Amino acid sequence: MINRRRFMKLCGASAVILMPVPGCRSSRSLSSQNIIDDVELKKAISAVALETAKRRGATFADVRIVRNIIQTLAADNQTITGVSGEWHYGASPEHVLDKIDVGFNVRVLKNGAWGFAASPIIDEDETVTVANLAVDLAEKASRTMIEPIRMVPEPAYEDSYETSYEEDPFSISLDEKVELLLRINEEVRQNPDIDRAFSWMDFWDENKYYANSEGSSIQQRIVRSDGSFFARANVDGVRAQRRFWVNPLNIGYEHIRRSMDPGEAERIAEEAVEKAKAPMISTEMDIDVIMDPHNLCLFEHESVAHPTELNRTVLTETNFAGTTFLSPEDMGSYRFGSEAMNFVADRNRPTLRSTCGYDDEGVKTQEWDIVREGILVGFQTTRDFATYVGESQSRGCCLSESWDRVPQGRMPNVSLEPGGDDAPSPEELIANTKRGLLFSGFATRIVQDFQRRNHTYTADAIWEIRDGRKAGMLRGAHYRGENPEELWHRLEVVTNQASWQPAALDSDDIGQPSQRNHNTHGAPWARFRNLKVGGPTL
Amino acid sequence: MSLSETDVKEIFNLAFDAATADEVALSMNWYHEVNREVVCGVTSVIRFSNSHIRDNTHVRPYYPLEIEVAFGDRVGHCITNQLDENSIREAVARAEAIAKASTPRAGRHQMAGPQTYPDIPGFDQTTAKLTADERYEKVAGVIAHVQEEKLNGSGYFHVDDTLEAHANSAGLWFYRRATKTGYTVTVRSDGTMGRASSRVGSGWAGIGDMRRVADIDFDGITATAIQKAKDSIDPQPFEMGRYTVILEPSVTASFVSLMLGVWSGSARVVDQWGRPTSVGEPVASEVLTLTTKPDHPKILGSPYGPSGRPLEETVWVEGGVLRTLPGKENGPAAHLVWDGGSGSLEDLIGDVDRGLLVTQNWNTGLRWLDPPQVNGMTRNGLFWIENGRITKPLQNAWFTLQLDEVARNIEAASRPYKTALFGSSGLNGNLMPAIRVANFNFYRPSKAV
Repeated sequence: MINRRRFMKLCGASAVILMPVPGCRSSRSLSSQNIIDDVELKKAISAVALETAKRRGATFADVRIVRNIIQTLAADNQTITGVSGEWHYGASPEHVLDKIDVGFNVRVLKNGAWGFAASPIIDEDETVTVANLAVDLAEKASRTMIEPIRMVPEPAYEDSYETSYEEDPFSISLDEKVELLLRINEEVRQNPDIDRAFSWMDFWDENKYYANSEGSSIQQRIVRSDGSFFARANVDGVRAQRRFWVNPLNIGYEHIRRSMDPGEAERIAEEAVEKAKAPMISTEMDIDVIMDPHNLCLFEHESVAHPTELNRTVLTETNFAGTTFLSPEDMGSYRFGSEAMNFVADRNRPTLRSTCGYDDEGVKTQEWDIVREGILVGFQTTRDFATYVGESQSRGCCLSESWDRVPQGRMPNVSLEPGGDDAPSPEELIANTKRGLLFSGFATRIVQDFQRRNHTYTADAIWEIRDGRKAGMLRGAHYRGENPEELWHRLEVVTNQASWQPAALDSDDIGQPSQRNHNTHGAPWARFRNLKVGGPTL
Repeated sequence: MSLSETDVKEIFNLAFDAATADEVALSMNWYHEVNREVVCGVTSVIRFSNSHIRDNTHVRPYYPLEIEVAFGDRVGHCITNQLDENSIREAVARAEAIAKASTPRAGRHQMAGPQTYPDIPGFDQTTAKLTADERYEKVAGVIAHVQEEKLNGSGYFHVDDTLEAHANSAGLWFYRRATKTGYTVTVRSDGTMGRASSRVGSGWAGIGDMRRVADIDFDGITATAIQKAKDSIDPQPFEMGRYTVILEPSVTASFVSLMLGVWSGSARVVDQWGRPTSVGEPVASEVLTLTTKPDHPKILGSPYGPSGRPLEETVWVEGGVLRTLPGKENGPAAHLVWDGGSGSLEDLIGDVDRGLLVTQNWNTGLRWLDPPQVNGMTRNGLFWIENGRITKPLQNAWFTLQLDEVARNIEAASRPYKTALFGSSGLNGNLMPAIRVANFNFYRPSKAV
């Protein structure tokens, strides 16, 4: 038998946690609720860690107390089951599950170097232990420092932030969610040429408390809702899949009600069948390419957002994700694209995937330019990287994905801006394109090098455009080019504000060990002049 | 401090007691989520870049409990890392709620009963007890080595003290502790950033999924990366086309991983779904023999297999012929050994009159399935071989060819080496040889370094 105290230590429980929890049948009444919902208690626990670190000589310390709840539901035809497959950027709902993960971490800066420690146990003793560990690790790291880490200043905040939502997705019954998934699949399967329908939804509840040695105390709750469905046609042995795009957002279940529309199932099924019947691209060509927002999304992510991660620029990702063709001195002068190219980064636009009140080192979130009229004007920075580009404040791109992951620079929302008042609508863009291809929705697999110099992409659906009209689908087409000369320099026109959509990847990762990230790559429609297009071996 | 067998049983019993489902399966184990791997146990990481330590981290004991319940054929899951009684009750209730809301899963197998597992020792006390000072000393030595050479080093060293435990309501029980460690390093000839870096030399080396930190040759691995970085400065353009290549073991592993996906039928690309290859069919040159050997002294992997059955030695491919189909019935092809030949990587290079040495690869994957078309790129050192000797560095390049071509054009293999995972492709810690492949097609140069 293990005694109670040892049990508590071993099992991630605390005296607070083990107290009886009245009414623990509700989906939210986890026993860790006592800590997670009590900001004052979290503040007190954090103060212990911060004080310990300061006493040990840390010049800066911060604490994150985190609870993540994730629910993933998926239906494969009429069966509720996980699905694995081609999902690198997808939700990959391999299991239908609920997950609850609770813990805290302490990061300290001492002698100019970082140390980090974390634990799923949240009590006073453990807090002291973890803080001391973090200091020990910083001391050791500092012995290898060539130049001490310098953090740019940030005011102290005492604040809270919560995603704005109408319906908490975790308060919606499982039966209701399952019924919607099955109904969508049933509608998709009404088309006799469809041999598979697949739908899924997932929900996140990130509860993060942040405190640092400069006086910040920030409570945040971020709620995410995501979902989608697919139709797979099988026509004479040729299979083709079409996805219905729901923009992953920070929002409540109302998003699913409004977006996961079974009424769209018929169209998606028909387009899957049309795709299966479409001819394969047979030749390579240089041709105008129109991308819709969901196709641009992945292209933006790989060709603009990754290259402008400042940590990648200064070689901290050399051993894994790679570097970039950009360098800090490019800022302000490098021509990244045509004058139609305007990219904005943000973490504060409502509902976007990376949006929150503060990043994971207490920086108030903001919006800033990455590319303005084709010129590179900004990078994604954290407090310890901002000085590399001569900036005196962080852009707020620090992320610690969960309590057990070290904070690091991560991609915010990075979005292509729409055109002005005179910009065309998508319909007008197609109408004034004599000959071209329309790429709709992203699809893996993509090809790009580890400096993001060259890129190859395909799409969920591809249409030929002839004389200003969609003239039928084409299968297997890919576009490629050297970045930026053969890609963003060829951006001719973007559509209007009304066509801008908050498209997003379902998931993304970086780091060793890897950390998930959520971000939006909003976009209007865009036309690129004379891209190189060919088949799968392009 | 790790959970003992008794501790785990007590925790599991809390879940069994709380459950009302017909069947219950419980696990504490490493698991993979989308874009995230979770270590069950204690993990320490040192990550360095630009020749100094960026991240020096330690995560205290972390035991995510996965609960699977079934009412008939309705299945639900929940994972929690909070292991007090109330939290476990709550997690069981969540799993059961999902199961009740779900549809029956046709063809679902009942849970396996008690099994007998071979004892494969995978725990090394010295590794588990490695102190922060000792971890630091390993990396500090590497950094000093790189700095002495006036080069730029980045790397990753992790030490995990892991726990794997499984039990179910049919009486199955499994408990095992194992240590897991690995080290990879990338060395660049200098710290040049951006487009100007296309003349920089870059080398990589590493080893993964080791049980004993004492078995990691930090100096040797670092020296290899340093030498590659020096040798690859000012890479030269070369004519695109087909060449005989030597693929270093981690590159081999990346191709083997793709081959297994295709042969098993699990491979997917846009709008294409794989079909299993028939057992008995010749799939590769006779040089290829792939065997799962969890008890190999350089593997020492978990004997817990698919659906709870003991993981046994399995021959997947023998002399180029598919013998066993990887997949649901037989489980994934893990803990792989390809014994190859008796010579070294250097011996293989010595036998090439004119060809290329591919030391590392990137973004290597299937672009098409019918037939399987693979596409990827070289990274961290591509070299020209002339009369059995490396004579010059080459610019990185994209390659494309049918996977069947690669499999059938394997002409020779070295003795096996322990591999390391690089990026998201490949097989971590398996035993793979360097191989010589004929007619390997390069189609586009790249300035990326």
